[in-house]
Amino acid sequence: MAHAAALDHEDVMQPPPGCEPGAGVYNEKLGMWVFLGSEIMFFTALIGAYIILRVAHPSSFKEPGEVLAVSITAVNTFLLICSSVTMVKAFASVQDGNLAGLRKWLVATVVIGASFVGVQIYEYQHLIAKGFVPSEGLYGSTFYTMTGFHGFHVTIGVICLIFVTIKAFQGKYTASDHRGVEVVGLYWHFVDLVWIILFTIVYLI
Amino acid sequence: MATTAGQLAGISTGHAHAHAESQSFVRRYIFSTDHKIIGIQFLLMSLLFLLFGGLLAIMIRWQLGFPSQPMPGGGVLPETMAPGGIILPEFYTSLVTMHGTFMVFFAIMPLLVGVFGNYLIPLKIGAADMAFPRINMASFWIAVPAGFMMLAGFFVEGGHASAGGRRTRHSASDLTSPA
Amino acid sequence: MGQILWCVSLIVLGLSSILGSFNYITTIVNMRAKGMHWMRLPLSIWCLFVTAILVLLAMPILSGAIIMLLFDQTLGTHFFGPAQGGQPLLWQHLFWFFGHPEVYILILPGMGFASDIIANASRKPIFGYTSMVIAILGIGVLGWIVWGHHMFMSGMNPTLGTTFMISTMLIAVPSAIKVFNWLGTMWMGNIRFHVPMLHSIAFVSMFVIGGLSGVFMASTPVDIYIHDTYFIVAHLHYVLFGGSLFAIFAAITFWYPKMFGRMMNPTLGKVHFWLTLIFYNCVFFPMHNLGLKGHMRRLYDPNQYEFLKGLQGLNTFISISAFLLFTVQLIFAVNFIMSWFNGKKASENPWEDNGLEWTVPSPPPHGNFASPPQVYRGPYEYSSPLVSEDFLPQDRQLPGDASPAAHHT
Repeated sequence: MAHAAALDHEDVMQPPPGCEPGAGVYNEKLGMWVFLGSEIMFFTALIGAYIILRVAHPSSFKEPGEVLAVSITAVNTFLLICSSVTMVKAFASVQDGNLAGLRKWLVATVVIGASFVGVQIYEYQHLIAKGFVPSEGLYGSTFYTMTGFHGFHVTIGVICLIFVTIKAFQGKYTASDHRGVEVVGLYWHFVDLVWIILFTIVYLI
Repeated sequence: MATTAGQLAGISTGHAHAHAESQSFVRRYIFSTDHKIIGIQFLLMSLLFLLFGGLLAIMIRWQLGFPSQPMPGGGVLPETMAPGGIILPEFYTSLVTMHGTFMVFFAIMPLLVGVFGNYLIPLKIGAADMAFPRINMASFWIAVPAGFMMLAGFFVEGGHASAGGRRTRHSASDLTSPA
Repeated sequence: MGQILWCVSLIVLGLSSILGSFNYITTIVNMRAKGMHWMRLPLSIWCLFVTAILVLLAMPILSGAIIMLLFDQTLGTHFFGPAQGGQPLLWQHLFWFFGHPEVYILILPGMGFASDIIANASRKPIFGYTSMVIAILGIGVLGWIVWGHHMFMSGMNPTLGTTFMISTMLIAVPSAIKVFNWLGTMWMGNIRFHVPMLHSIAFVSMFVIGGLSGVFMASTPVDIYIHDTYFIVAHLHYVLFGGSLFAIFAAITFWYPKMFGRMMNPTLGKVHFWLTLIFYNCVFFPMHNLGLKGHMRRLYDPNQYEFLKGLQGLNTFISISAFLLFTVQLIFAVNFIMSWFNGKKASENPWEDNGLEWTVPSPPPHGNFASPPQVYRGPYEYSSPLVSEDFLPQDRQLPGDASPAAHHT
């Protein structure tokens, strides 16, 4: 028994030692899951407001292709989904102890994530030049608030990923301790998922 | 949010207690990660806001009990609030709004959740500290500037937030009307 | 400008609350000492746990709503401005979807503190621990489906109003369970009327008054009459001041010795308690009458209405009582500050309580426990026949108690 407890203590990817059974995962992972619950409610407020306003005033909203460039955003969506794949590859690499793979895939994720933000900024500039601004009726209000806050979350995610990548190059992650990679990965997948929902209801429907 | 993910990505701070003695005064009592110190910091902050919220209530009650008479000591307030100690209608509405805001968000909620959540949870469940002591510290030091911003609203042009007659008239007032 | 600062300040505070609450949830789920099963948790921790979940899920709704409000004011968006098709009602729905869970955020921890203190001062196990836990969870769930009762006057469909009326009245059930359990705990108890207990009893009684006036408002026909009057102000202050604030005074006086290592002065405490109770009721009880006579909230000068002129005497009485109420709080402030420097040194366990926090020195050292505690029972084993004292701490191993660590797999 004492031997098992000693092993527990070294394994930081397990729940804290010497405690009652809790969620069965280590604190940072549980904390991120709980925090994502809060994020879900935040996006629920924004998306819910969009749905209510759109149902109440259908005439204030243009058809998807009329103002927004759906094709360029579709490419952007594909980019973000790819970055989720590279994130999974990075996590799988570090689990196997393949640190070179971890660095490679993390850099790929950072680059793709940053280019998503870049394309979004380009799209904003393009739309604003066409006269579609945040004060442009209900459509502009909801569009810029929702996609803007998503973009803000992606930016935060890219910053955290850069932080994780630097630590990966410093050799701070190993097969037995890669909590940072997993936790930031969870956040990244969440942000990706939110974008898929936003793309569907804003650009496609 | 940046703090959260950044901290989560960082190294666990579970072993922070080992070098308690070597900490400086600032690390120990001001930017402390000890849940007990943070709880007491919340206690002192929210008791001060409770007192402030009470003062606002006293001004409201003065106007209702003795309408449009000069308030004793009201002369210290600037002309835009209470010229000659007589509370202006605009200042009165923002008093009501801010009494509700301060009491709910800066007094009662931190007192119940911030103070005793911090102080009691680790002690009562038998833990050495919170799961994320540094995020806990950040939580307090984010609340402090929020309180100062709320106080600053009294001194800006046009007065503080009030429900009456503004475009979004439901903004703050409904906090004090649960029906 | 003031409104913008209001928005930004609350967004920042919301972030602070979310950071705090996900920390609490993780700590409670993952870091309980060996043997501290869910059903051995003190009720204060249960309440703080459910409160943290409510904060975690409700605060982001407020943040979202305030961000839209802020954009309306600064970027010229049109979420809530009706001129360009915005919906003021959307603000009300979002605000109250946050606002009603917030109401329970403001009362649940108080209920938890009162449960701990009442059991301690009655020297009896808490009555109906399991039903208390279920009631806490029930309040936490039902709190999400009642927000419409703040909006009966917004022109909502009467059928929807009736739905919200029923769900609101359902919340009276878990609340009443808790009240009866507190009474059952005190019943035939060997009650110690120390200052925290006095505040806790006041909490229960004032909460009952506030709860009963809440039932008036929950029923749509009555609410249409008393909406936006001082009846609402009276109700709110009965639950927020009479409820939450008395619970806060109870909790501060109860845990003060643990926090600062010194006892508060009990005489000053009792004087403060009785004067507060008296003046508090003088301030807020007459407000029910003001409301029933049609006195509106947020009214600058009641005398501008002919029918309210007769109420000026009552208003003056309330105001004088309020000034006195404010003044007697200085007794608490003096007691708080004086005891910090000059109070009697507190022992490890001055209230003879069972909780783990009373097994460590007052104030506890950095890191709390010298060695990780082991828990053998729930926190309310008072007057147990197994031991000679009338309390039995959670971590005391009696003959026959198996060590919880041995069950670890």
